[in-house]
Amino acid sequence: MVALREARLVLGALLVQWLALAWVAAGLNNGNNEPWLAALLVELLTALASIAVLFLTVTSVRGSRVDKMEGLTEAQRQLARQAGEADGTGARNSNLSEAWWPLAIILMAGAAGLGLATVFTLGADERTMLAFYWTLLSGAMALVLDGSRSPIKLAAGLLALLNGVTLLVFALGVSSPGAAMLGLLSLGRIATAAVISYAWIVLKVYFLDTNLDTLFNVRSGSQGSSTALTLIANEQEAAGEPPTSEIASQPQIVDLNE
Amino acid sequence: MNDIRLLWTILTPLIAGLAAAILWTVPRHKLKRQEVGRWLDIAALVVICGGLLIEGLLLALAEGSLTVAGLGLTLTLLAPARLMLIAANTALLAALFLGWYDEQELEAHSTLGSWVALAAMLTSSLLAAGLLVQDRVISVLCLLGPALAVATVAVARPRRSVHLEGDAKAQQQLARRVAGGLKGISLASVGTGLIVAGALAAARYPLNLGDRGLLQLGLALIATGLLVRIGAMPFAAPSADLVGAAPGAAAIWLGAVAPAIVVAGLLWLAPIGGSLRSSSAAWLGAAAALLAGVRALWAVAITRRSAAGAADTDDRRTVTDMLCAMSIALATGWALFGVLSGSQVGAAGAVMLSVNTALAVPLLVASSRLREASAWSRVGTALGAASLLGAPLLGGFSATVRIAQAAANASGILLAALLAGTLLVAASWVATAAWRNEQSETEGLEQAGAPFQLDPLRVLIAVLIVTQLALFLASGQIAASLASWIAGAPWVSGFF
Repeated sequence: MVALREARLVLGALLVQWLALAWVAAGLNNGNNEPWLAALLVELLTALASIAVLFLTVTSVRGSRVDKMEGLTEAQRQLARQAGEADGTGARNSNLSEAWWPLAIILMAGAAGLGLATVFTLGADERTMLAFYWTLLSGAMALVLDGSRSPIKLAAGLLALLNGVTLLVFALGVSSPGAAMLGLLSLGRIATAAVISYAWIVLKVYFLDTNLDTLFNVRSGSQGSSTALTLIANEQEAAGEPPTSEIASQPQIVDLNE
Repeated sequence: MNDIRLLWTILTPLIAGLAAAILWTVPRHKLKRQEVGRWLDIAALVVICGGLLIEGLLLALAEGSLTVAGLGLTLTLLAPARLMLIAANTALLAALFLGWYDEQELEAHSTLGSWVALAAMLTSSLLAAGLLVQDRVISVLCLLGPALAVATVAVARPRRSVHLEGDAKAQQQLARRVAGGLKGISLASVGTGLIVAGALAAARYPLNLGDRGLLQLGLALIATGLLVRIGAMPFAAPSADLVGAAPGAAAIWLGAVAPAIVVAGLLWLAPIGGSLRSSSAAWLGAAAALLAGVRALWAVAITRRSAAGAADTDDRRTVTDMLCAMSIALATGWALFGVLSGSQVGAAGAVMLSVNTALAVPLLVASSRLREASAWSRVGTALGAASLLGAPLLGGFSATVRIAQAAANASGILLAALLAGTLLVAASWVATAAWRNEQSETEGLEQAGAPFQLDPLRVLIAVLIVTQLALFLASGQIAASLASWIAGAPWVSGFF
């Protein structure tokens, strides 16, 4: 989930992790099977609903051809085409080191999870806490490494964090979770998936790109100038002219909110 | 005593929201007369406002507790929850006005007022559930819902296709609110996770009384989770975006949800014995307040330096949005300190400051929506900011003095950090006002405008200003109403 770049593969990894967590949670029953079976069923339904929402969004966003929309300028169409060529994750591997360093971090995080599960059991058994820490760390890494660029990594990271919390509720709760708690845990995650999916579509329709970098660039007011610079450079290249020095003298844009 | 009114305080806003949603979904183009559609809109707004007012009335009248056997839940109305929910409903009513005003102003990036209204109703219901329910984990999960509702409003589609019109300013505003929504949902999820983990660890302590580390870990996680969830510094990133680009969402998030979570935090910690407070994390609140001051001053300094005397209205507006956000972050930092201080005066101050924040934030946000040269905008902004900073004769004064007293009893360094944060934010406001006056004189902007012009937003500002004075006068009674609960709460009993 952390190292994968293709959106549907990320979702597949999230689903596998989710089912594994449900399996671990099912193993926590203390002889009283009925509530745990209900909890397991709710978990499976939540996983399927959340992943379905995200998967449908991935499919529809990829299927849409924003560059064919009426009313766009040629520059906007060009931007939309460039965005369409990207894989939608917003993550780019430009060289070998960028491709490998997430794997190295994953290995280190895996080892850290083992250590944490041994030292900080919080009163639960080690195996369950290992599953918890691995889920938590995978979610945190997805958020830290790509969460500010890719909506799918943002969604996967947040859902993994909330899944870890759910496992903790099963593992550390002094009693089996009741209907209200199961419902809230389930609704919270489905709603999170739905809101991020909706935001993803808004990004595609109104910013012509699903990459969160674009959103933050437009927010800080730098998208317009960078687009203009690209277009000027392209036109000058086509005309065989040297780049204009005026570009360098553009006023610096100060981002107050970063 | 079982009081069924407690259940109705949760259900009333939901039912009103559903009724309004049904009225709004009637297709307007199929109606033969356009006036019918207008009347349906008015009816929906009346239903929504009525729902919030009835909930407030129920909160004022309800007493005791209620067991909902089917769900295994116990609802209890405690004095802090009653005060906070009534104040939060006032903030939500103001959010309705702001959403509606934004729609009337026909700003391209803004979303429909009905989205804001429905989010306000869902928020009201979930806040009531979160503050009434006794189970800590369920309470925390209930309070995740409002964050999702606000994020939905923040990322909602604009009323016009801004990218097709080449309107860079509208697109930037849209980007600000979408970014604010996404940051908000991320912080809310992380904060919820931390608090749930802390609550579970604290709940296991009675099963293993020898393991004090488990309890201290739980308390530390709850304190950190609160810091993240209430949007105190350094987790106030979405606030400026929302204040500037989505005033309705900002009023819900910063005016109702964040203060309610502060009070909920006090309720979560209340059953934990005072003798176990050795892991006190009150310094988090002081550090948050200090950081808010530093951030505010930095924003003003960097804008003045980069603008070099040539700032336009957008620059001034952006720095005002940031100062509004930092003033709110400062108040939440103070309130968090009050909660975590473990003292009776601190706890009373935290609840009172949260109530004041719920009333001051809509004033600040509403004032920032008006033209900056207008007298209403200047007076509203000045009073809103001064109230959040704890200025005398306004709603936040009494609460700030109480928290300062708790800080003085705890440590001089913590008090100094809190006061330094306040002074830095105040200095930033003063510097910005002076700079704005210079700019206005240079550009020859009209200062007076039409000071006595009345529209719904100005009426809202006037009402909120009067509320500030009323809150200041009523602070003694509010403190008295909290006294009996505070005296019986193990978290704060026996201290100061």
